[in-house]
Amino acid sequence: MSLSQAARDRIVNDFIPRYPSKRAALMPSLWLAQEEAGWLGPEVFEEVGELLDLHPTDVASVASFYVMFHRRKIGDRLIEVCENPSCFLNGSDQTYARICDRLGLEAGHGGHGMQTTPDGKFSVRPTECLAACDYAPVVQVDLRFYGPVHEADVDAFLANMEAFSIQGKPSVSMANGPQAVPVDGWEGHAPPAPGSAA
Amino acid sequence: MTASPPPATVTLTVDGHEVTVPAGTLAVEAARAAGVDVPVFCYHPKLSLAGACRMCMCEIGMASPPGQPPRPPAMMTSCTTRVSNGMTINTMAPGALKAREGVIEFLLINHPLDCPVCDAGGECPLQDNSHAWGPKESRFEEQKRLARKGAALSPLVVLDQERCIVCYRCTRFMDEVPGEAELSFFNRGYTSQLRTVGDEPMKSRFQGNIIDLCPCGALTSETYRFKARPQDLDHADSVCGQCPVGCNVMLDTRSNEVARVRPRQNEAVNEIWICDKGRFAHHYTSSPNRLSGPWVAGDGGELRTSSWAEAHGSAAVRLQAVKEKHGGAAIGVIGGRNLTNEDAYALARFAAEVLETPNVDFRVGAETAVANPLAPFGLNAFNTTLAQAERAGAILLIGTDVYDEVPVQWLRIRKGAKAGAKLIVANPRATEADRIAFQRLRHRPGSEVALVTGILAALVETPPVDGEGVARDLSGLSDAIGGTTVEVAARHAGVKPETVRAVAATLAGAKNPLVYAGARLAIRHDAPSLGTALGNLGRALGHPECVNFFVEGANGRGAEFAGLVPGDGGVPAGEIIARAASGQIKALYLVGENILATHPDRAQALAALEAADVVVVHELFATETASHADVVFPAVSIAEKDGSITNIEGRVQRIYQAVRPSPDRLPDWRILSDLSGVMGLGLGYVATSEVTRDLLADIPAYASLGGKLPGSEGAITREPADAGHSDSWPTIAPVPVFEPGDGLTLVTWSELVGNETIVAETPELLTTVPEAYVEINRDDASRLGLVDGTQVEIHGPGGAVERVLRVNGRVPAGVCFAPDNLGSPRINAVARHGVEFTVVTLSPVQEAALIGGR
Amino acid sequence: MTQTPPAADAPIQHGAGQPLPWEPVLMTAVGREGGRFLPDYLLRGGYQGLTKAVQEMDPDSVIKEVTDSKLLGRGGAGFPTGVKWGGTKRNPGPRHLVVNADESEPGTYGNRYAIDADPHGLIEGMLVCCFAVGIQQAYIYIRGENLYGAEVLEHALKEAYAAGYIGKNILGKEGFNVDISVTRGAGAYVCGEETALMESLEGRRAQPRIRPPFPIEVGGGLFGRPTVVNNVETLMCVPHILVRGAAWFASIGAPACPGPKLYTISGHVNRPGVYELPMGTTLYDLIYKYAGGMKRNQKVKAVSPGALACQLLPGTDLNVQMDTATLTRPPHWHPPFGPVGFGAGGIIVYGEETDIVQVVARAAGFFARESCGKCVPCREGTHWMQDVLGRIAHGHGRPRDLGILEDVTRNIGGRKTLCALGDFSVNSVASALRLFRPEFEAYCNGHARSSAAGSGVPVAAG
Repeated sequence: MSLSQAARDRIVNDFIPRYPSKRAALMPSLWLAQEEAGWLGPEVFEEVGELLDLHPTDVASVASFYVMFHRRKIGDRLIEVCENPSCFLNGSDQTYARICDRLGLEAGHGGHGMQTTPDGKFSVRPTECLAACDYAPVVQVDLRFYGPVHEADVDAFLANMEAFSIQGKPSVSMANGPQAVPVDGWEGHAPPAPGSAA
Repeated sequence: MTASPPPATVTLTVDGHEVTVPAGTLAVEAARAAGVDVPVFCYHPKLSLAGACRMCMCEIGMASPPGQPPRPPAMMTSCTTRVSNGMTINTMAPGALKAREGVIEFLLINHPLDCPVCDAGGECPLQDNSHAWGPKESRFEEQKRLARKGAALSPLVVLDQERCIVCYRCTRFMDEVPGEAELSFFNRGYTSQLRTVGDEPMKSRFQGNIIDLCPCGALTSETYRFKARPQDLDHADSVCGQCPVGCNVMLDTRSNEVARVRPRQNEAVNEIWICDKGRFAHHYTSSPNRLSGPWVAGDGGELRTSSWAEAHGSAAVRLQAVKEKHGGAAIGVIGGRNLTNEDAYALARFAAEVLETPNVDFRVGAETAVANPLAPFGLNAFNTTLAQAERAGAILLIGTDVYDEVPVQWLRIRKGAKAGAKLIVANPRATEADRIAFQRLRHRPGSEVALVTGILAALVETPPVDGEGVARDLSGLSDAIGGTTVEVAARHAGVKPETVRAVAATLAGAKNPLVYAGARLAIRHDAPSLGTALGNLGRALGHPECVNFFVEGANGRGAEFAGLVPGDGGVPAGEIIARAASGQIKALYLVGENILATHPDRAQALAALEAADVVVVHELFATETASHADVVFPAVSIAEKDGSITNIEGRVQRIYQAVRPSPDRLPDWRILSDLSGVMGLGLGYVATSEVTRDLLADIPAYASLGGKLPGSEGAITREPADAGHSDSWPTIAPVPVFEPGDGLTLVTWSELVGNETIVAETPELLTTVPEAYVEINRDDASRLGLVDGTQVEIHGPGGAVERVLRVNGRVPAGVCFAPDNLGSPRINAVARHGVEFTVVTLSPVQEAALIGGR
Repeated sequence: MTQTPPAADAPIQHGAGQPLPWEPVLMTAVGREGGRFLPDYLLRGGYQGLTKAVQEMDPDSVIKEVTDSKLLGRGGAGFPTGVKWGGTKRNPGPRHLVVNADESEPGTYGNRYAIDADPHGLIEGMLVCCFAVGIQQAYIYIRGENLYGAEVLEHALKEAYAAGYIGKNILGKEGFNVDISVTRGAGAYVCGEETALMESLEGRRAQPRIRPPFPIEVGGGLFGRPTVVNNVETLMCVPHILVRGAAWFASIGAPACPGPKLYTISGHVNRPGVYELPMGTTLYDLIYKYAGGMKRNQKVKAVSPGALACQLLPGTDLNVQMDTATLTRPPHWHPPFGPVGFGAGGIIVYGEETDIVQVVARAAGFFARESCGKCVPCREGTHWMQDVLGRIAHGHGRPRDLGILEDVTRNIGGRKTLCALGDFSVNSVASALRLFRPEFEAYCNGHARSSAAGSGVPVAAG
């Protein structure tokens, strides 16, 4: 596995000129290399290093800092389930467990490792907040967001992910436009505002 | 806005003590100045600031502007805070103590506390700081972090990841000092791990320094592991005997053997660094393979052990016979570049007074009798201090790969380059310095004189302008270069005229230009021309003293000063061997020189050894050359010596004996003194101090020392200028242009660590030596149908050797590069001495024809 | 986040006099066909702020206008934007602008929607900044997960280049040249810290730098140049300030930190989402008036007012005004940890069903995984907290754990770490121990609360 000529050209002609230092082209170069191969192999560190005048150890060290760069081969599709509080409160643990179960994987306990199905089709791991908490629980598949995917939705989700896509959709609160509209129906259930004359 | 100049000093209070320090000082250093030691882990004065360990937390209060209420003090890291007037630093504030205790606890929860089996135990900052500042009980009950233990980062450095406290000293060092970012932290946070890509072994020749920097025993030396506890060690101050930089070292010994070598701080020389050769290649000093007792050849020529008296007697009789029959000039003396000044002085006296020969030379392979190519300018061969490289505006490196030749000075050159020096690298092949070079001149091998003449021509075209805007008058220089134009010179050197002009402009525009020429250029046949050219360059730039020639050997400069160079009518070392081979010189006296490996023409060296009536050798080991000797004297190593040594810049430095030698070995000066006594012309020395006394009185360069060896910093010495030098522009004797024809011009060079005798005694270091190789250009490889990584045979006028082929872009077309200290036989087996350039051909080695030879 | 308690001077006024329903300023593109594209942006009055700056104002008066508007940075630290711009400009060029679009704080998602909806609003704000501060190179650093946002921005940049809003001699102004590019992160929360972000942009491991020198100074900014680092939402406010005036902006919401604010609310509310409201809207209004009240009508147990990095507010504190000034001064200030914090306005609401121990254990895990590892208290301390809390949450707590935990939070927090992540990591832990100690004690005494598998409350779809 090594970089295509097109990728090298893009790094040299597009990425490097963007920044005053060659090194700064590293993040886009690693992304490009990962897009080509699905992961980053040792050759990539050497080849990117040569283009950017960096030691391959330096390149690999930078890549290893970021959890989205894969230094091992992963499944064809990467499913990541947010496990941070907003999704957690909405049942993301159960979603994660169900997805693992349906793919024949073990839902790990507290671990953050990645699991891959034996056929190499799917890799699954928990992830941190994806900034789509209004659609909690949120699932990321290959850098696209889906939600809400509750435990009960998992089968439907795995069968047709696009039905759950939230990419480009407005926030839940803005389904009817940008206005922050007071919700009358619920005000009745609200407790009296603290400090108001009760 | 009228900005008043910032105050040069700042006055502040540290724990109640007022102290005045230079503006810009860090709080941690200001505290030190006040006598208060703030504990640190990540902070190191030679590295960039990290602010990572948070150990140096202090309560720091800033003075308020006049009329404002006092600002409350805040917790700050004293290693990242610069002092200001009126600042109060409280290193013992309760908050600071609490923070420090917290840091120690955090560090120890995952540290294995395997101090009883840790090499760092007893000299470990983590241990010391835990003792002083840590909590007195442990309350961590979780699973400790498990990680790699005893993992080899290379054959020389071992990593215990569990001990690592992630202070980034090692990675900062590798990235910032030698600029080899081959070690880095992988992953992040709690899972941070020190690694190399693919767990490849580290290759840097400076990696040993990370062992010294490591504050927690995570990085240890493979060769020193489990060898000693610090309290068992004795220490002796010494100077490294591996290269001319003269790094200050501490020899730590146990049971009268060197257990390890550590750098000793000398800001003028090595700061606090040493290279891996200096650090690890010390096992030869205590090797069982060392010669023990003299050897004398019997009637059949076979060597057998003998008593000192017999050996001295035998050598005396044989040398006397040659001297009487053929005259003193029939004896050639080679050696001295790796001896002490005392040895060198005794050898010079022995040659002049006892042997009465002018044919003396420490410069193995030298083709010119001129020892100092810059003498016509009233200069020494080296005229600056090593530290000046830090402040240079431009540095021209010509004919040297400083990484191999003056390794620790390369670190200083890098420091200079980082501080703004423009590095110009002139070399027929790519060197380490090319990576940070501002300009590169990939000239044809041997065309250095033409190249420098071209730079001079460019300066004549556009003379440098001084501070007042007045152009320097270089009209006389035009004659000195014989009216050569930039175009002609550049064509001869094989470079572009515009590059030559650009380089000249860089040098002319630099505030403090500096020129370093490799030692090999100083001994080549055209060295006088190059010296004239470079001397003129210095004058043209208005900095006559900026030009420097390196020298080979740990004490090459000392040997030069001591007079181990051809005397009146004497011939250089290369010619001594040639004359011995042709029978003109009848006896060879070789002091620590294995000429079969180091003379550029192995066949000639062999012929010389075979033809000579008498060969006397001083050696540590039974080298191949020693096996051809009539008398072999076992000498002592630098670890067993007292005395002094003079480094490349002329700095005289003291060395102290670390190991008591066995009575079967003697210092060279003692061997010579005893031998001279047997020959009836006794030097009469029985103590080192006597030799030191005489050499300080006798040697003109050391007159400035006032009869005393200098203290720990050493002292710069210079040879007095020749009376005859003039202030005009000396004419550069033209050097014919060499046309290589069809073959490849062989360029050789010594790698810092080759498979030399003393390296071989440290197997861990030896395994880092690459397989002997030859390097050619991609175009030549495809033209010749040769494949990278395959075995090839190099054919030259002297013979053929096999090497593994490296095909890359590091050498230009038409050039083939092979290190001369790798492989057996060495590359000197293909060369012929006295031929200007060795032209070789390469052919693939057929599998069936593989008959060893590496 | 500033950690010095401000003097309790002028009392904060509620966004009095604001007509409701609120007229959105920043999210006007939502719901419009092609709202994110240049033609629609122009229809909505786009690039008028820039045009006004370039044609009617000089750079210094732009900075003055922004300063007068009292716009505070929306990323969390709440630094006055105009002051930052002016400070940067006092340092010699070349200078850089970096947009911090690394929004990764759990519970914060306003930037993502803002970029999706109105990328040109951001670009215009950037250009105004570049004009005012004298910047020719601007970079948008967007978190790697938000590929869609990066694509939206790339497209918008192309449109803006083609229309001449970016490039050479913008709007005919001789010498007003700006180039903008997008750099994607790759999964590191710490990149939200401005110096870590710059390290990442420079192609390094995203580990925060020491300060000083500060980003606005030589040696401290991107590529060593003086640099403005602004949040997406901050810059999106700028064109409106120029068009409608600083006085208009300063009159909106809380007087100490005025302007429109994209609140994001999630957790146990019926209608989570982005709400653009005046700065200073009360928590009560946000939850009950806008976010549809609590799921299953439960009471509010606690709130993370600025997402995970902030301290918890008790459910009894709902009349608090949600703004930078209120949440960073007493009584919302708890030594030694400092202010409760407002962050970027990402509000997580925990109903009474919530097992707070589980939530805090989760928060500790997040910070342990996201600690860059550069400095000791954060690297080792976050992991220790994660271990102890994980053990407690799994029912293996011991009575002495809570004392250790509290002391560990004090050894990390209180400005002992290189960047704020250390302080962030202890905020929810320390405040939960303060507010809900009996729940932790129950866990440590073998009486773990029996919620569904100890992992939150499953909620039916829809």
